[in-house]
Amino acid sequence: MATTVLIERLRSQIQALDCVTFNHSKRTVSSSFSEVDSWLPHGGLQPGSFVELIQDSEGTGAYTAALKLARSAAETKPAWAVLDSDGTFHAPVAETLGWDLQKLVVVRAPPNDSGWAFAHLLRSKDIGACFWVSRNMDNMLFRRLQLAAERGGGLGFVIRPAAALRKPCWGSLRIQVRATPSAAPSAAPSGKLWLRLLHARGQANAAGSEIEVAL
Amino acid sequence: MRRYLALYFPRWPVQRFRQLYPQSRDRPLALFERSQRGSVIAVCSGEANRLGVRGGLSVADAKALSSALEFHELDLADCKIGMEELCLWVTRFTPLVSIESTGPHARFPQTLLLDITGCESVFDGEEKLLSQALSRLKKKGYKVRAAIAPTLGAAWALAHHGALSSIVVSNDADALKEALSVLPLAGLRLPAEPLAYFQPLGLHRIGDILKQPRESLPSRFGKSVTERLDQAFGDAAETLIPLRPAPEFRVARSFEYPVRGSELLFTILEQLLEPLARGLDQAQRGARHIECWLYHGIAAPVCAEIALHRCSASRKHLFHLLRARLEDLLRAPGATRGKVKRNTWPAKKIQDKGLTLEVEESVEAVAIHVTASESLADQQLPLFERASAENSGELSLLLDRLVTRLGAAAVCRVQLEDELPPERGFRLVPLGERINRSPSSAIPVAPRPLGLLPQPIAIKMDWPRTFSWNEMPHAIHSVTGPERIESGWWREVAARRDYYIVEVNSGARYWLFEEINEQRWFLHGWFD
Repeated sequence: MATTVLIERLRSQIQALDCVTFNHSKRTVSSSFSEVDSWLPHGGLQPGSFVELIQDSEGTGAYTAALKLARSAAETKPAWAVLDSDGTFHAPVAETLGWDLQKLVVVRAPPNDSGWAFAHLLRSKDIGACFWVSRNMDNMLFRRLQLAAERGGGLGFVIRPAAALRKPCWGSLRIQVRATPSAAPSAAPSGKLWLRLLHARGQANAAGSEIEVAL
Repeated sequence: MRRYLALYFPRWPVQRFRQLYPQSRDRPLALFERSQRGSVIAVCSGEANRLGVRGGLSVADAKALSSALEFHELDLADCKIGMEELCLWVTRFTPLVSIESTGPHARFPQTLLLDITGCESVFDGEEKLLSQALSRLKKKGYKVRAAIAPTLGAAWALAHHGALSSIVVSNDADALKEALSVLPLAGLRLPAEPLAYFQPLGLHRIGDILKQPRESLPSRFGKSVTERLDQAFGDAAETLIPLRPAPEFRVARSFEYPVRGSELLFTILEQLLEPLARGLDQAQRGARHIECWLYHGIAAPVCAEIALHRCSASRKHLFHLLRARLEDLLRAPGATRGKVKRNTWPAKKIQDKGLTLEVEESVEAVAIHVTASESLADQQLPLFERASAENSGELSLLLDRLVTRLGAAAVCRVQLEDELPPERGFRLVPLGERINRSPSSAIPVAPRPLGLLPQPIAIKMDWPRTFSWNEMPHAIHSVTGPERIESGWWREVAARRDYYIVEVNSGARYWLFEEINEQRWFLHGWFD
């Protein structure tokens, strides 16, 4: 068999696999931003899944984006959780973003236990959304997270560095987040984020679309 | 009258070392410590002793005595762990076991003290209990001397200085006096100072002291002499403080045939929890901390501990937690297949050592202890208001699993504080603690970063062009600020800072400040 034919066959098989939606629920919840909802391939966020947000460096606003997108989806649940392994989550800011701190569980797990802890948070039916800034993850853990999210029915957001772009995506969505610089040195910060959809499970054609939003 | 058993492991650090490294068994061994005057021998084996090596000798001098000597650094922490493991192992004879905490070996204890009052009937007499303990310890490769006596002091003295390696002294006062009188004064567990006074006076044995007028002893040799004498003869109380406190509720089962396989074990644990939960419920108590002990034939028992964020008397809840804990241990990172990290007391130290125990090894007995409980009537309200009755149970289970594995300090809620500087603006409180509604003044009005370093990091600043953090230069694109933040003068370290929101060329925004007093720049967070 010619190499090109073989590669083409493998490519089509990979694409076919990629179009399989592991999440059996077709339900979507609004991200609270109509322009984001219409931009997302499923018309919103899918409960029972997790979303990967990729940022080039800290300070680009990916975590804020995650908190804003997940808020309305999580507000019907009794609790939400933050896996704060490095102890940098500044909880009072979440309150200003509309989150109820009375419902927050902060988990400070050591690096070895972070994946385990996040999977357990995702698996809970009472946790509406959970957030984790993760530098290293392996494929086995991703599969566990996926199954845990499907069981729990909540939303998980994993914020990862740009190095993760070279790794396969297991989330329902993979979105790259960049901050839009202010127009001029003297101008106020733009407050806008540039989002690029890198991967949407079951929607291979949607990858590559971009949007600039003021979240 | 109580009965005490003292088990003395002579040259314990050497015995421990040889247990860990059996290849060193037949060699003359010296364990040294580093001190200000160089490396000094702390303890040596009998073979090394015969070559002239003594405690306190420098390693250089010891090397000159023989080339056959083997030197290793003394690991005091490991000696203690070994002693604690043995302590757990001997709980098969009595639950009240302690490690000697006073006397000449307090620095590296070598003696286990057991309160065996009433336990002898299980073993058909004290002699049989003693012989069983000695034969099993010998089988494990330990050299041990033992004594049973009516006081802790007497048992200790006879185990260390008795003529025989195992002695039983009855409760008769005359017999006790006769047994102790012939022992050297070191048997009184006295400090070095009074012992040094006795030598030139020709007082060598406990009997010699007994012949002296008692009134003159405290003024001549210090109070400790009469105290120790009274303790040894039972005229003054000495309490054995067990390594582990007695459980509040306890269920246990031993098996006629050893149990193999985790599923069977889980079934047994579920059955065992039923009477435990019933007992808790009848007493209107809920468990807050549980220990599950698995006893093996030869190896030390394994303990799985569970901490609950709210007290519970639910068998189902406790079983789910216990099962999850044991499953976690089986999958513990670093543990090889079929093995579990030993989680015996103290869990952390033993885990650090990375000791493993084969789970495949059969379990001979199981015990579940409730070591802390609370009144069910005083139980707190649900943590999260909207949790349904059914889901509340699931959420509780999740939180308990997290607390059990990660510790209570790692699973928290947030309490906002009206405090400055910003790193003091909130604190994390364990789940069990009640949190108050946030004061409105604690919610920031000005922009604050979502990522806040607990301790600001000093950075190199070339204001207003670049700053360097982690050896990475960042070109400054725009700056917003300053915002002056000062903590009160009454603080231990008063902060006086000018904060700036600094946007770099990529668009990323950082929260930097200049400490006014020190004129230094710090990174405090980022607008993630």
